Amino acid sequence: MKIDSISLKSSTIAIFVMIGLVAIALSLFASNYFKRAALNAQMTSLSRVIEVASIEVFTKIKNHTFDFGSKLAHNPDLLQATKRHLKNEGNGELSQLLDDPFINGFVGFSKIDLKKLRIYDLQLKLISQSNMGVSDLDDQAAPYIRSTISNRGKTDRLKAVQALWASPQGPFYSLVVPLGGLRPIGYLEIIINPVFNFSGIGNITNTPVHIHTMSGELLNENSQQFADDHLPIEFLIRASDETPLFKVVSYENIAT
Amino acid sequence: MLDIFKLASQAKRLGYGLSAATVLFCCNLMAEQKPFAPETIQGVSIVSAEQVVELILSQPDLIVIDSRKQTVFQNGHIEGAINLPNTKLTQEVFTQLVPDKTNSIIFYCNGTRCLRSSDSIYKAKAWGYSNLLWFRGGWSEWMEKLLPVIKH
Repeated sequence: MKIDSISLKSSTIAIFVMIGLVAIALSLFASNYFKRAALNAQMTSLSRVIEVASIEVFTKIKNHTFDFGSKLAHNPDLLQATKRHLKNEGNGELSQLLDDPFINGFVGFSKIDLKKLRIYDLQLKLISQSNMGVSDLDDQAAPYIRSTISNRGKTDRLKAVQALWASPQGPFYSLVVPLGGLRPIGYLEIIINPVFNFSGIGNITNTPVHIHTMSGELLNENSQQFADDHLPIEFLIRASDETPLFKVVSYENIAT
Repeated sequence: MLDIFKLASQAKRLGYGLSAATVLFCCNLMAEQKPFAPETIQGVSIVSAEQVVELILSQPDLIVIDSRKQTVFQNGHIEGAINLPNTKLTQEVFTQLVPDKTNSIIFYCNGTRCLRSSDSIYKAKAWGYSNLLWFRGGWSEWMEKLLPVIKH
């Protein structure tokens, strides 16, 4: 076919059709590209929000637990019972005293999910624990807590130690305070369930939140399921020894 | 007539602008004037939280004065500390509390932005007390280091 035989009209139409097709292809590509970029930016910013929120939650956990621990560590009955127990004079009264907050509650009862109370001697040997709360825990404090305390000097041992740690029963947060204040006779460990507080991240981010173990098991019950119009944004919470502990998944509604 | 209205409206706008600027200036001035405790007090040793602990454990006669308000003191304080707000500190009260002017005394309040303990130290110094120690970091340093707290 010779070029002379193509009319001006048909070549104009062909050019417009080509321009139209290129425009359609470009707009499809651009819309996908920008949508993906917008979603990525949204995921990054929400991930940072979750990070900040998790720091906030962690600070609140520390404050509530430290408040509770400070009161309990100076409780005269508990101190006397521990002294008697250390002299082998105790008669199970120490574990009964440790059960008391589970039965009668305490100030800040609704702010933390208390799982266990344990008392160690100054060499960090477990001497008593509450009967109530989670069972089958290891007879020692978490390795991070033990190594932190044993590596500290005399004065620094009076500082409370906090740790997020993993156990077969799930993730736990512990705060260990000296029992008896500046002249300690042992250590008191308050073990709580951090998932209870981390579920509250949703109140800060205004998004529903799921908390999963590293193997994918859902930890916060009564969580609703979400359709595809919710973008899951994951944030990893690490234990104090830096091993991955659990995932906070926030669901951002991208339908609206 | 129209010009007068225009001028009046412009003057009103200028007035609003000036008022806003004055408010902003005052706020800025107040923020800048929020005081820090002095860096040092002549003749007084500044101690850290760890040193406070060591002194409490090694010196049975040591007196620790918490210069904060009573309500704040009751929310948490250092073991063995005596609550004596700077506003209630008189020579009579202090002499009754610490008759020996060579006794070691530690003063603390909320932290570096609190002037209560430094105020108490200036008073005690003026009354002739010679062995004064200042825990300048105060309660905020104590809490940051998660040291034992007495709560009522």
